[in-house]
Amino acid sequence: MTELWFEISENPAYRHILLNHLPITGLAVSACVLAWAIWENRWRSLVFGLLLCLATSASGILVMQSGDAAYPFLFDQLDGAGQAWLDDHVALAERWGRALPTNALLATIALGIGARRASLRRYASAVVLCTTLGSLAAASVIATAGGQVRHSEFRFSSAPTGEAIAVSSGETSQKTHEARGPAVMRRLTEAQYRNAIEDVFGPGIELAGRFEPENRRDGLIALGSSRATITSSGFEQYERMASDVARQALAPAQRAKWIPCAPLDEASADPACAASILERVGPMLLRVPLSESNVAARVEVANQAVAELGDFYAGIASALTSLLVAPGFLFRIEATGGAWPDAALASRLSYFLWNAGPDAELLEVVGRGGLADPATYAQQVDRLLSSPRLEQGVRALFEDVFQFDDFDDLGKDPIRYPIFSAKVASHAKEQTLRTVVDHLVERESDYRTLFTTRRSFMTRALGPVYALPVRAESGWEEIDFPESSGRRGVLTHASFNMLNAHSGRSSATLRGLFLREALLCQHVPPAPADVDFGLFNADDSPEFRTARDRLEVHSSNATCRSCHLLTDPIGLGLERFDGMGRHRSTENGAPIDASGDLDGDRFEDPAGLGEAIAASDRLTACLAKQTYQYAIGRVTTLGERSWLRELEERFEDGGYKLKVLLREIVHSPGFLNAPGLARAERVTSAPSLLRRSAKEDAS
Amino acid sequence: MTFLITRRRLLERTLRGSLAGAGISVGLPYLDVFLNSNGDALAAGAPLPLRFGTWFYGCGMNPDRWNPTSEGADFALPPELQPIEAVRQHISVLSGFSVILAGETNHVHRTGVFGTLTGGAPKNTTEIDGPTLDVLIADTVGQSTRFRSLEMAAHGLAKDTYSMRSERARNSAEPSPLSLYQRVFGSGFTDPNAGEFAPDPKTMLRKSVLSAVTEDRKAIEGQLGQADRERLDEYFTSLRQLERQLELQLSAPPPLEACTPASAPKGSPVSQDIEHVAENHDSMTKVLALALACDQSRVFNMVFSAGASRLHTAGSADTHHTLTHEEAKDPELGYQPEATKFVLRSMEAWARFVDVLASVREGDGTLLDHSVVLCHSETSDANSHSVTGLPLMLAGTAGGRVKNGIHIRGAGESTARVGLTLQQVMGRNVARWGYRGNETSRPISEILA
Repeated sequence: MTELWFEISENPAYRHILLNHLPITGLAVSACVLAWAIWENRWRSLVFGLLLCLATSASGILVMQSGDAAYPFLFDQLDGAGQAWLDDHVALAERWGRALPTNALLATIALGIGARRASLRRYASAVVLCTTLGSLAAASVIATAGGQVRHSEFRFSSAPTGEAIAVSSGETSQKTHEARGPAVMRRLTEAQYRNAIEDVFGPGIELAGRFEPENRRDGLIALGSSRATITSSGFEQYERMASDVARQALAPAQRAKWIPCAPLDEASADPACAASILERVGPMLLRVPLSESNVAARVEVANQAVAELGDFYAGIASALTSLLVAPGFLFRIEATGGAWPDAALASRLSYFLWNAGPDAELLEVVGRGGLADPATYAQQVDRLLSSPRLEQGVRALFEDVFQFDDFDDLGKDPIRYPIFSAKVASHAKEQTLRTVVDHLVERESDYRTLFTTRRSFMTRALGPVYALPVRAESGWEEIDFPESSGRRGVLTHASFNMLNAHSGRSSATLRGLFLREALLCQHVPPAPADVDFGLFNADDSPEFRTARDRLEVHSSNATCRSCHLLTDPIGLGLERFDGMGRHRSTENGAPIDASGDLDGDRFEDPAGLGEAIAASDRLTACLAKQTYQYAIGRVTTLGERSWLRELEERFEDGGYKLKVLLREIVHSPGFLNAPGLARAERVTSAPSLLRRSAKEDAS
Repeated sequence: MTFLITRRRLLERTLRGSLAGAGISVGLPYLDVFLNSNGDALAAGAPLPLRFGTWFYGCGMNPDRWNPTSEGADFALPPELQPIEAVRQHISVLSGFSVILAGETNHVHRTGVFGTLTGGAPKNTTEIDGPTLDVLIADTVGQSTRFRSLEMAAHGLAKDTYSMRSERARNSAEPSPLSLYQRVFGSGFTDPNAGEFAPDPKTMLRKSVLSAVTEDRKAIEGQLGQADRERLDEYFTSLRQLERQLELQLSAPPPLEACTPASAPKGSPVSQDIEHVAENHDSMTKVLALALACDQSRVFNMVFSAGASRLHTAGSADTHHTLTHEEAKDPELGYQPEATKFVLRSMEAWARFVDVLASVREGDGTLLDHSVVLCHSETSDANSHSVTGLPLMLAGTAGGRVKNGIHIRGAGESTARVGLTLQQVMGRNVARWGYRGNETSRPISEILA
């Protein structure tokens, strides 16, 4: 019993389901009781009836609260139609749900009036009866949509009509200004740290040290960095790295690239030059202007160091070290910068599109407050999107979405896979990222065709993995996979297949799991603790020679089937690629059957799987959601859900081009408005950029 | 001094009374005022410091081949405990202690280890309730050494760590013997027996660099929300820890006869191959023993293999973890032969670990005599991810406070009792520990000397 109570109190979805009948049946009963009481015209019965109305209407508040809390959990469990119904339910509840607390308030007022004036008792109660019936009607409408949120076999209709959902049009854009959430402080990732050093001090500085491990949260490392902090061992490493970087940056050859002034005497302090160096470098590193006390403190550090070590540049190195371990550098603090109200927005924009801090031009615009002007903002967005540095940002995004950080720990058995090495792994990763950048940034193609394209890149190191000749002795060459290779689309690249596998063999379940969670944003429940693998035979069993035979038990056993049907049919389609991503058509002598189905869409081979996934509408919706969350650094709030659907539509209208998605996101209210970012009141709607341009063309 | 002690006792009594209803008690850290200027009372014949450590290996054991049958001293070693034969006089075995789920899901490869280390079953896969055991003990005994604690991962993956204050503040592990050596004995290490001591002038500079950073604090904090403020606090705590390290480097450390620096270990390949892992582990243990003898840290955490152990033998398609699930039980032997080989290798590594610590002479005993190490795993029977009857062993007497060489049966009680006992042994003021069904106020008195 305690466990049941525990579940109820901990799980809002259970609470909601337990309570949500209460307003409806309760209101119906209260209406009847109140009607009878009015007919009977006794004060005691009227009080009873009004109190009943009050209580059952008030229960609606608990229902709505638990519904709010349960929404994210439920949303991820549902299929497409179920999600649409859930959103319909939420939209209706937002529109009509106020009826219930209002009714409760009216009942209270009626009780108050009735207590004072006997003559008005009946009329007040009659009014409450009408509003109760109205609330009952509203609750029933809300509940009808809610009732469709169930297993698809039990639904009465297939999809909501969509009237209640806030669709993109100028009139309903008043909803979008609620589509925002707080700005979060994010820890710098390794790539961002490196980019910052290179941007400020020029290339050629080596980083020696270990970065704090990243944490993947809700599918993205970007979300994990919004919760990350710095531990003592991590800080030791950062401090060591910082002093090493500072030392390298002030080596004579390197400092010529960035230092703005020279001291009068290299062996003694020069506060003026030190201050000008810090005022130049500080804002670039900390992404906000330095206050005077800040500069003074660091100049003091520099002077101390010069006095101790007798070298001006060693002094500057100490001051730089203090900048490189400052929280303003190691964390992206997206708060208003005082003198630069748009500094936070510039930082957010720059990290999203370039995975690096704002460059000199952007800082200059921010310095004169130019980002507040929408035209200037749009101009800067265009500049960032057409720069070659966009490639870095796109790489960082897809490294996160494709979970390529696992390459850092990847190891394969050297006896089973003798050609595997760290070089092969890093080239495999680079191959996929290069293909993505070429496809989405250079050629600006449709995202879905990434899974059906034969074009890719190859190096000598990857030649043996693909069993393809490579002409270029070193470096990358562009190739088209031949028909006979069986490879088509990024899913058939070695990278995914070697990442989502074991050290000595492939894994259909891991691959299927990756597809579901990372590419289709679906949640696959974890395995139960007491799962019995007794029926499962080892890799070299003579009876079950291929993975399909071995995993048969997953689909025949009722307990296993519910979750494994989500992953195995997809993963088995990739069994033509072994644990290293090499193509094979037999396993242990038996031919591999790579057919399967993706939510009903059948395919016969891995290329077919690419086509099936390209045709899935979840693919693009998932990318849109992941990219949006990556940009804002947090999970979307309830108010942003309708905006997400809007974003998916705009992505579709734009031909599923990545640049369209990126542009829509940086102009979205959720990106521009956050408590703490200065533009909180400025942007209230985000009309579709494509439609606006279409209208402009038309007019 | 007496006045302060009385006031502290008063504070303890009040706190204990007011928190009597809560499941977790607040331990009061030792105030630096009560210890001498070095913080460890080492000078002139005072007792040597106590150390605490955890030694973790993944995927448990076969309960019917691991749990000893008789209790007390001189128990017969069952087949999977045979590897500890040579060092059994230093080890006590605790069997039958479980993590009580109390309605929580058994999150595979997670509930067992965090149950033992935090005192209860975690609610989900992304958060833990409270700091782990070693962090709590380091708060008490780790304030006066250069490092609060040392984390090591023999399998080379720095991310695999079970030492954390919260899920987002995990102490990452040193992944190789060389990196451990460089961290402890690289720049910043002062040989306590070197005689002439001259503080490095750069240390003062490094301190001033850090103090310039703390100027930023107020300005930034004002702009942050609550959660972000807490993260910033943790950042400044880490900064303070480094400042403390630097302060220690400015004063001469007391001489320690057991501290005899050795040369750097060779770099070795990092992989999940059991041979490499065993080699790295042995190498790391030697560096660790030296680090402890030189009093660089008093708390350590060694991970031999992570939960869901990815150890494998070269040439095999399967890892330890996949074998525990997929290998069929041999009908004659009654257990999974290949998977059990890894259990034996893990136990052998543990025995070697204990042996290395026991071979360092220190004062009138050995390093192991002044330490207590908890060996644990995240599951007992890995096939069913069972968290009942977890394998637990204690090595070392913690300065005579803990009995070695006995076997204690837990009869299904919570592993929080073990955690409570260890905290009390290490001097942390805690009367109750554990949560959600694992609350306990009874330490394991049979193990206390």
